[in-house]
Amino acid sequence: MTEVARCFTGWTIDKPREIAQFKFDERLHDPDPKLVLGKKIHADGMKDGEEVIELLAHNPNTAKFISTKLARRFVSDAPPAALVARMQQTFESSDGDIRAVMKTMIYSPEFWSRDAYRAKIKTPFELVISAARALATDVDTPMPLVQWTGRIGEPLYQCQPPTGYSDKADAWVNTGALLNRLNYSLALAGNKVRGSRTDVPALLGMDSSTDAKAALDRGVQLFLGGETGPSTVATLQKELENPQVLQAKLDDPVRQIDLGVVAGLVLGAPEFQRR
Amino acid sequence: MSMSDHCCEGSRPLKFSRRYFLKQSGIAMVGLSAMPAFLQRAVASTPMPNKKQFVVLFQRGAADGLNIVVPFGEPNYYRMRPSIAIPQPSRGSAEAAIDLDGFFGLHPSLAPLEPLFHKNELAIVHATGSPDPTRSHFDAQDFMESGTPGIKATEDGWLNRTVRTVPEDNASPFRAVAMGSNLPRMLQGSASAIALPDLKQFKVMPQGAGMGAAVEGGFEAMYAQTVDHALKGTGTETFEAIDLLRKVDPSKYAPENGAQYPTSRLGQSLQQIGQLLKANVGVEVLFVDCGGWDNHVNEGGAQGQLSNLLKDLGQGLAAFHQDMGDRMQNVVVVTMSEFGRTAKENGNRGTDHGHANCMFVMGGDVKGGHVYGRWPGLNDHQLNDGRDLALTTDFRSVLGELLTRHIGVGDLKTVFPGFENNPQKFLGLVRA
Repeated sequence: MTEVARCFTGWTIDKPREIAQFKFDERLHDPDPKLVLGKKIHADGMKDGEEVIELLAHNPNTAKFISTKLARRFVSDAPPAALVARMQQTFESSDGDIRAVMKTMIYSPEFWSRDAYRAKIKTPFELVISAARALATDVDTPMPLVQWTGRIGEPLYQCQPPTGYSDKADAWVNTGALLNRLNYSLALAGNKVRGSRTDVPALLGMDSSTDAKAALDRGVQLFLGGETGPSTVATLQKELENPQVLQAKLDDPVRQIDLGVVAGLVLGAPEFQRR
Repeated sequence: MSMSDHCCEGSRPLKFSRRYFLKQSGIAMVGLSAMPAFLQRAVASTPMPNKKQFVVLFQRGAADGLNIVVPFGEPNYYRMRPSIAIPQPSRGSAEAAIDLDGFFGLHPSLAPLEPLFHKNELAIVHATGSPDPTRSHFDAQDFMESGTPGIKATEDGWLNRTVRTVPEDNASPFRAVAMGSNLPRMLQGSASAIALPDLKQFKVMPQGAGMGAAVEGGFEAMYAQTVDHALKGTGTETFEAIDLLRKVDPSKYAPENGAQYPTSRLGQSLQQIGQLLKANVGVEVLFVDCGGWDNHVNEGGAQGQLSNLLKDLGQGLAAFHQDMGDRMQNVVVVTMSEFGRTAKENGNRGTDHGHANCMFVMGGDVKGGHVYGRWPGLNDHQLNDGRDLALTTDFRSVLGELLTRHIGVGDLKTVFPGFENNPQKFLGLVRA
């Protein structure tokens, strides 16, 4: 670490508050030889740093690390080793061309396999944003959404380890966080998030409804692309047809389904937690 | 074949049958082996009187250990802190240090803790902390929570690793709890842990009145039915936790033995900790934090900013101790802060970022009544970097002993990787 840092001495920014351009300052450079990954570096001046970059870019571990990261991001939390190996190969043969590596991944059978289909759990940020988008929510004040993101487990820009937030599900799926995901969906669809406005009836295309099944079918169609286990609608319908849930208004003796709750329930479904 | 396979073919009898059994305590009706996992857990988490519990209290912002446990026997202490030093003990003075052992004294605002010290249920470790020299709150808290001073890349916290090293089948969803809305770094990791801002808020909260049961039932059924393994497991745990807590009925809690918790956030968090521990829901480790300790300006002496924080802390801990009563036999509470403060006061009648600090250890099996740790002295040449209390005990050694002797952690290497935690060097804080 210290040796690498020595190689980069002199790399700086000219007038960071004004034009902020890269600059190499010879006077700040440590001209003595350095030893990085067993290799002596003494290329002189700015070339020292460039040599380190070369060295790292061609290290097989770099190809493996970046390929694994990409596959974990786009395929699954534990990407197939064979896929990662082929991506790594492309990385090496293309001299680190990320586009080529991505092509290898996207054209792979593993990418399109059943196992990889919606295999990723949404991060808290993705969940918060995707629910707001699904509901066509009008966001005036984003701060409350930022706070929900934190409560669901991802306080924005506050990750402590320099490695960044995890790209694996086990970091995001825990008891407290799951409850907050459900409560966020209910709050957003029920218009209880300050500074955000959602018009669920317009979205579902019904002013009001006494038919829980119709409202649920519409919600599942809209928010889950119709993809849900066959029993989900039936299960939710049963809960919603509970006489306590149906609202009776004084001037309207016909009992109504609370559409905000319908939307909140569907957005809290396991299917919506996946990407 | 578990019972849930028999009983749950319909849309939601799982919920009914579980709550029914819990309510009726009808555990004797079915053999243990036929019991579904959640019931086994509920059983396992109910009668375990000898289960040890461990509470960590983090003072964020770097508390001033030298004014909390005052080395009044050091003449240099008074020279370095002309306006904020705590006066030497003097009979009848409410402004003076409370004598503990003729050399150290408690800040007068910690008076509620004095009897616990003399009853040998409170121990103090002085000149302890993280050996990393950083003076950044951010880095130092990170190191104290990851348990790996100097290493930024550690992803999980030592308290989470602690839970992981003592595997337990059918662990309660409340095994590891942090009081607050986010899981602290210390509890992050692969073992499951819950952040609880408020026990009363741990439930599904729909907007419409009277909809709670239906909405919760809907969510519970969806998660019980999903083929998604991870979400199903977490969903089951979540609704179990909600159930257990409903049984406890947090809104009807009254502290015992006349304990009066402060109304502050810390006081209320400690009260909820007491409530959770008494509820027998299988809690083993708990985390709570409190802030405001970064007193660069007008820190105050016997009165003032630090004094107010200490009143809150002292009353809170004493109330917790009183409320827990005999249950304190199974509990250890430990306090920590990221680093101490400069031995000399600064030009603003405050103190700046320092190094070593003090830790409190309270509990029934603690060998209290003593200030532990080698005292490095406060003469100018004895100070760390010429400005702070030097460090003589690594915080991992204090925690290592508590984890080993109180909750029975066998593998300290996993909890504190890269730290040689030699039991020979334990301070002897816990009764064998």
